[in-house]
Amino acid sequence: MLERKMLKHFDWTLFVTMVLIVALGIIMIASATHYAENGLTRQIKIQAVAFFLGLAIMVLMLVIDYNYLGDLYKVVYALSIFMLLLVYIPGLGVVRSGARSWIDIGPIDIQTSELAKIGFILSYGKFLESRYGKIDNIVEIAVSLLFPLPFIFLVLLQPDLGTALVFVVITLGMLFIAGMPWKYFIGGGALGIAMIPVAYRFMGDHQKRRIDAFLNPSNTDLPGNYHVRQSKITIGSGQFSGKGLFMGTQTRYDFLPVQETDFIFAVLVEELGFVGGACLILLYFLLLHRMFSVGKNSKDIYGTLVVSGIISMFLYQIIQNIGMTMGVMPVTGVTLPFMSYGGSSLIISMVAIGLVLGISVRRQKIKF
Amino acid sequence: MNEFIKNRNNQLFVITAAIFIFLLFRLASLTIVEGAEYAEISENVRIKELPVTAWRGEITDRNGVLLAGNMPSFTVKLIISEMPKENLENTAVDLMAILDQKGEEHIVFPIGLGENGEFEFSYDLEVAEWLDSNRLYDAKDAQTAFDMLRMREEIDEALSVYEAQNLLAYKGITPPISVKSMKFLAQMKKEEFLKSYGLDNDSSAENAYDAIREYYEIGNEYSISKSLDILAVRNAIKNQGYRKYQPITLADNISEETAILIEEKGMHLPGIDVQIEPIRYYPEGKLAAHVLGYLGKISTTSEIERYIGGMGYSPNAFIGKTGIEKSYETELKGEDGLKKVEVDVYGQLISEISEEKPVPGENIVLTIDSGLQKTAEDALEKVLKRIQVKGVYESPWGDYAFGEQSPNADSGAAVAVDVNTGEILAMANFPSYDPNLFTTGINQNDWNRLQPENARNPLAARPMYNIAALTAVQPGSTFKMITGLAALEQGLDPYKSIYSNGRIELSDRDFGCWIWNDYRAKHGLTNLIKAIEVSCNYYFYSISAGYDYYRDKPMDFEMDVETMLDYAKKFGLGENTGIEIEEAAYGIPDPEKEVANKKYYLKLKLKSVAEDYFIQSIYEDEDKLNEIVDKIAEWADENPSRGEIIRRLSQIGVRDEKVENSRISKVEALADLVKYSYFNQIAWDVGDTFNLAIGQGGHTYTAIQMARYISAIANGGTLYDLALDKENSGNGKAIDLKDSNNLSYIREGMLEVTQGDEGTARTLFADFPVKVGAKTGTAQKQGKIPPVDEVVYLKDHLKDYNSYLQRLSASGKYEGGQIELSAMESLVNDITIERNEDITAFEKAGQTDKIAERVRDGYLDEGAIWRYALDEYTKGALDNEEIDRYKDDYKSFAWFVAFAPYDDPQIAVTVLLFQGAHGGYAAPVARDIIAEYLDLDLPVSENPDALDNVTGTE
Repeated sequence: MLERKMLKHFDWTLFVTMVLIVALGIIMIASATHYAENGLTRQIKIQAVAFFLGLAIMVLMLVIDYNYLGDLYKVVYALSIFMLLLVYIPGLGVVRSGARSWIDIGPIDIQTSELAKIGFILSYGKFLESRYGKIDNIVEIAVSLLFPLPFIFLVLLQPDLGTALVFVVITLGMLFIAGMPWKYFIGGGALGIAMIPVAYRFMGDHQKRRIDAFLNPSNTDLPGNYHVRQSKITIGSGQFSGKGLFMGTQTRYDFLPVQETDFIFAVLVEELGFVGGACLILLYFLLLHRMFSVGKNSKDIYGTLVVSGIISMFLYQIIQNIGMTMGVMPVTGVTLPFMSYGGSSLIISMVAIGLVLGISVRRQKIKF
Repeated sequence: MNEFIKNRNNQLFVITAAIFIFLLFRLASLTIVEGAEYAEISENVRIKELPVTAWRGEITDRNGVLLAGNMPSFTVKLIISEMPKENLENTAVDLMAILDQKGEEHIVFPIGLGENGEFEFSYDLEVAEWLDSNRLYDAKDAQTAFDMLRMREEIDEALSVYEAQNLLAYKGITPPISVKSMKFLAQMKKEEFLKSYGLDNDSSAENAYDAIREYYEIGNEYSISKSLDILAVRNAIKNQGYRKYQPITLADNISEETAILIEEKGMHLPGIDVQIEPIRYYPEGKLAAHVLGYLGKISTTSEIERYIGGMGYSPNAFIGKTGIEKSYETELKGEDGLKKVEVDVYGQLISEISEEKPVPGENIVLTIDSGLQKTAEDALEKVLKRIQVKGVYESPWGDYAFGEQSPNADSGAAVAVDVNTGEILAMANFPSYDPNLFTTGINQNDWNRLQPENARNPLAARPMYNIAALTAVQPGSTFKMITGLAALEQGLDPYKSIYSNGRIELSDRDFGCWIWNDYRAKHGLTNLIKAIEVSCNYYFYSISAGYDYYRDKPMDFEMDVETMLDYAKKFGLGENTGIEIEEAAYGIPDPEKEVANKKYYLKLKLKSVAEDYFIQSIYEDEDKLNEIVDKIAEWADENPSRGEIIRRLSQIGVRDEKVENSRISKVEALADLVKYSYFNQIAWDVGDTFNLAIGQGGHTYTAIQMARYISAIANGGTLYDLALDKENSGNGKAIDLKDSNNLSYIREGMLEVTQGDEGTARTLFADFPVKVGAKTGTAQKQGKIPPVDEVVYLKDHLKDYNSYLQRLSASGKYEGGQIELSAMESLVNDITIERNEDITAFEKAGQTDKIAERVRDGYLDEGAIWRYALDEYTKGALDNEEIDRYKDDYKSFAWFVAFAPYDDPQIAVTVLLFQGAHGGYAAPVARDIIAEYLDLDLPVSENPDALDNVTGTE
């Protein structure tokens, strides 16, 4: 399935950028888990193992033609929904920080919604392929919006607002690439903003408090604000060139909460300063830039749509996570792709990159 | 370009780029623009300061004997960051076992095992104890307890709980109840404790224990008592919260032996550290306690402002509360050190960054001679105890039998001063206290023991009170040297005798010499020397007026009361002596002021009886009434005759009617009142001068003022500032005298007190090897000793009052009935309710100052209400004198002042005994002090060593 000549088109820049970010991530996880005192921690090892596992699965993704998966989109769709339902099986589903998002399979726990994201992108891409350029009326839009609803509903039920928003953003990104007219985005956006006060009334207390917290960042009694406050202190105190690797005091003495996952970016900036933070942001930019390029040059619409879904997923997670650590986005537990500690999250992200690389190597159809 | 932007991928890419640029800007703003600020915040949360207490300066006596030093106090601390978590349980159990075995107190878990082995909350015990001690046995909760108190104190039900709480506080009742939530404070602490473990308020002690034991996963291998030890430590760590960098105190003030034992086991007790903290230590215990003073926690508002606000003291610091410890607080304190440490988010100590070493406080050398101080304190105590039982004071210098018993002679003071420097060699008070009780905070029992047994009696023994410096009383005959000196300076011939005829009869009063009052005898021919020797009042009356009353003609010098008082002032009487600790000084009597005071009382009296005597238009018009009252008071200076007063009164609006049940008119009655009860007393007359001449009347001086005055007589006229600080001594200036040789006549008289045939202290100094100049003084204390419980006293004497009323009835002076207990009780009840209603009204109107004023004046005091009720009931027939007739009189103050040796004065001593009965009774104390100071050899017969030597060499 994988021909030798295809490898000519292998996007090395994309791959190396990803590897660099993962490497940086592992170093920061080392710092966040107090490498200086504890040596090689479980988290470092797991992340490294996950990386090599991820590489293996990437190769697999490279070998399998994405169109093969696309043809099986109904199966993929059903399987993805099944994944989301798995968490409700007693003895298998696990509740973590209030959300029933995990299944316990022996040595590791897996967040099934991460897997479902990929499944969703693959099947939704197929769904949109036939409607490409035709989603310009309310009926079509409504039909296209029905497709992701089960995903969003099930994830909200866990409840995991952060991941649900990832699904929403993937949907919007793919619809955008599929050619849904701007006016609907603008109209929808306006409607959305107008609906906020109404929606607020129907929100649970937990969500309301999150929003109150974002609007009143100085009130540290509100949930997450203490975290954000400490995160901003951590980032700010890194100043231009940082306090030095493994020498961040906010990190070492645990003033920064959940540092190896949600606030890994703050760890990076505290120790490597503006320079380190800007480098990471530029690496992400390069990563996305390469993916845009692959998407544009895909041999078929389906490839373009799948890449756009993956771009949307990463873009949202990056903005949401980095924005949160700097106090410009509300607190939702979204991890930073390739950086945050978490085996299943890293593997899924690498699967996504594997998909993009697979699309990239099969692009030679259009050769002008 | 147009093509580019039409591509949806490109559009999305542009949006992505824009967002990334925004993220970069945000990052730059946090790290570069605001970076320095955040860096500072991150420093501050991480770096904490730990104060290191400086060693307090030492206080020594003049010879270097340590009076106040520091003792290492061993404190067992837990340093959380040094304790491996897995060792916590065993360490706690082992440590507590050692502490228990050695009988040391340590922290405990708020749940314990009761006597019957059931679990109980210490908070509940606290509440139960309070309820019991306040006889609120039936109170089940704070609300009931509070209501019962309200009922008991008859507080209006209409008042809110806050108002009721205020009223209770005015009555001195402060229940440990938070009225806001209507819970016992201990109960709130209990709820807080339970809440911190997520338990319900009504959890039983046993359930709470089980739950918390489970919470900390304490295994079954530990018995209940061991698990309680573990829980005590666990709970202390939990309570430390985010201050885990601070060591946690597990046991305070343990013995050195225990400390060594714990240190030895240090290897097996990781994280446990025995730290040495200095605590104040007074090696001599009670010795010179009032000079040294005591320590206490910063508590009053002014202390908080001065020490915490102004000088940066730690809120937990101990400061000097009295004495040298207070006056030299800033010198003794030193400078606390500061340890800077790095902590993590849990407050655990990470590392030490820097340490500023503490600077110990300055040492103070006192003028006190601790040996002499000890002699003074011992003698004082022994003499007082002998006087109480009419015993014999045994002394190598001659036994002294006290001829009159005074059971209440239970406090006094003695002061010894170096006459050539003003240094205080000894300042003794009895009773005294051990300042060591205060060094780590005094407990309630000890504190209660230091309070007077009968707080209502101003002369009750008060161990904490520095009588020598703070109690100012009449000096009695010890003042006579001033009177004599003033007369000498005015030209009195000290060797010229007058005839002392026993008593002087003035127009309204007789002034008897003590010898006349006691024995109907007289001193006969007396000169100044003799007059001092025998303490002849007649002589001093005469010279204070410059008039020979026996021969009824002026003496050959001018003398008046101002001149006499001027000399009192010259010798520092009534003024601060200069000592470095708290002292009282109320000035010398001021005849003008006394006249003004008496006029003021006349005015008050006139206003209080205005309704009875004046016509309505006057007593209802405040301005008019004031005008008339002022006018009447002004007549006092001329003191017109009774007839003249009647004439004047009848012109200014006194009611023209008879007094009820009497034949005399209201004008006459009022005239009698102002003339005999006031005018005759108001105008300064020679009798008042007589009183001052013999040290009675308005004089009030402290023992140290007297010592300063005697020193100046002894040293030839230099008035030194008294000093307790060796560095302050020797400040003196010559007293402005016309002829300082005049002092030698005074000294001669004082010598005769101990040497003369009739000297008032001759028996005491008969065998004394050194010549001593001295003077005795006896000053009466007016009034009656208030009983511990006024109401009990009054009830006990109703029968006596009734027989008095019966006698009045028989002579037609009383028409009311006999006093019946039940009727009295209901009257008292009515008055109490009425007064509480008044107070309630004030409370509602927010006039708390009026409440405070009334409460201070005894408005709600049960005894005062009873007395008021008795007055009402008998319509004034039972006056205060009659009511108080059965109370004990105060015995006189005993004064003794002396200097020695006569030929070369070194030391002046004054002794003051409360209720000591006779001046001479204070003399044995002074005698012991002088002997000790001059290091006199004991008489051979009294010196066992000397006898041994004699027999030994044979």
